[in-house]
Amino acid sequence: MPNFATPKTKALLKGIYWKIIPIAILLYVVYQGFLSDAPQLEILEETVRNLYFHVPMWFTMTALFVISLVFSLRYLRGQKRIDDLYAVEFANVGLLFGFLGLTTGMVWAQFTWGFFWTWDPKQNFSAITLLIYLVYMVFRNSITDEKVKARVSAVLNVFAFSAMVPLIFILPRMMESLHPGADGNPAFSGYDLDGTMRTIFYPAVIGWALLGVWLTTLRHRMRVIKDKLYEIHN
Amino acid sequence: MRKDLLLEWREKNALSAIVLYVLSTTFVIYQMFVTTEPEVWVALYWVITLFAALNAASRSFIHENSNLRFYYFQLVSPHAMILSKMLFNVVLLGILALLSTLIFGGLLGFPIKSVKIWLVISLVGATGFALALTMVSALASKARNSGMLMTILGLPIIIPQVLVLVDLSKKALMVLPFSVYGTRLLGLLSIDIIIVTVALVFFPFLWKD
Amino acid sequence: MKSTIKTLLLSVLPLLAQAQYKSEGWDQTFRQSGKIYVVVAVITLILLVLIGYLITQDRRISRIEKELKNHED
Repeated sequence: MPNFATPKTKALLKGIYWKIIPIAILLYVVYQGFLSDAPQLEILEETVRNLYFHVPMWFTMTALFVISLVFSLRYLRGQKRIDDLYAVEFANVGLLFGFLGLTTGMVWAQFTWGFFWTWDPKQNFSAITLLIYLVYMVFRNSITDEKVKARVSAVLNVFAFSAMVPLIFILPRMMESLHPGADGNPAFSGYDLDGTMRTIFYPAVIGWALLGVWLTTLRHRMRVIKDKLYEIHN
Repeated sequence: MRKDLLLEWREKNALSAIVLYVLSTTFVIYQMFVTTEPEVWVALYWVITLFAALNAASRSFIHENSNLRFYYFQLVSPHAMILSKMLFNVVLLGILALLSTLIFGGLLGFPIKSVKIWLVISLVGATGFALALTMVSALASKARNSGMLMTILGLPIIIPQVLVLVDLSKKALMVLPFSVYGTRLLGLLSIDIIIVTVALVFFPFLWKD
Repeated sequence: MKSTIKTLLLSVLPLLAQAQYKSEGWDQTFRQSGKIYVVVAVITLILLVLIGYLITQDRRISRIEKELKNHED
């Protein structure tokens, strides 16, 4: 695997330039998201605009968890502490977005489906996925030896991810569900993604995802700083 | 690998402890419920089996002290280690599931329409529990507060399986063709395959100590 | 924390907008009558404040990193 931690990439990560992208996109999404026309569907009506916020939360979480997995695997290969720090911070922020996705989903459900929890498979299984990643966090905190901690959490990360894939992507499609994309149909199949919504939805996913990555890099840099300070004092 | 299995078989006290557990909990429930609705029967069955499984599987890695483990480390490859532990747990929990079925059936009646289907469901469930919990136990053994951690960690990992199993069991209360169970059973089995594959690839990293 | 408030508000507001005219379906003139701009303005303000927070944190961290680097050399 190529070495990413060159000074050039580090400088790039800290630079302001790529961060302008999520800022610009999110401002655009907020503006257009409310002022553009939205297709009026039964039950949902105007709330379909939630698609620009609720769904990207989950997509961002998935993306962050994938990146976290990659860093966990890198750690298992090379035993470099920085990979472990990346893995845990991507998982942390992924959890945050997952939590946001779940709560925004509950709010949306309360107003459209009538209950904030419907025992819908996707709702259940996504909550369980969050639980499993929380287990990952608890686990990390219960091991004191740094090396053991890193190794065990890397393996646990692999497990958590391989739990997430069937839980969120495979099982809900096979079962009866209130979410779009149940009973064997792919999600969003001609459901409501008309042209206008697409021009806002896709950028929204990118914008929120980049925001997630930005937040992760900040947290990660804090960790590296703490590491260095710890070294200096000891 | 056979050596491992032999060593595990010596842990007969594990089996008797679990049998005792199942008997006592079922007895308590018997006292509480005069008759059980079929759905309640199913729910109770899986709750009890779940907790018994947690108890049983946590003994896999946690009760060995470090000297014994070092000895094992010299002897066997990590693959043999994890496979034998998983196999042992699968058998153990399989016996547990069957025992639970008998005890439940004896005390509370047997509302499941087809014994064949129930055998399949309960054994697939037991296998799934065994595999998942063996891995969790391997991970938990690295931490300090192993016992408690095992329960806390084991539960979320197992819940999806329990949900699917309860769903299947409820279907088994009625007479339905086998195709109804097909996809979900396949799902559970594929979860098992994933667990074993991931365990085989990644357990060696855990074993290095 | 920041994202929590931000996104909760962002997702609740369209629903509140719906609650105002629920029985009549929705009304195009109602939406265009200027009231929606208030919503957009409010949310944009929240977004800008939170992003501003992120930027200041980013700058602070960069400063600390630079100090640490000088300390090392």
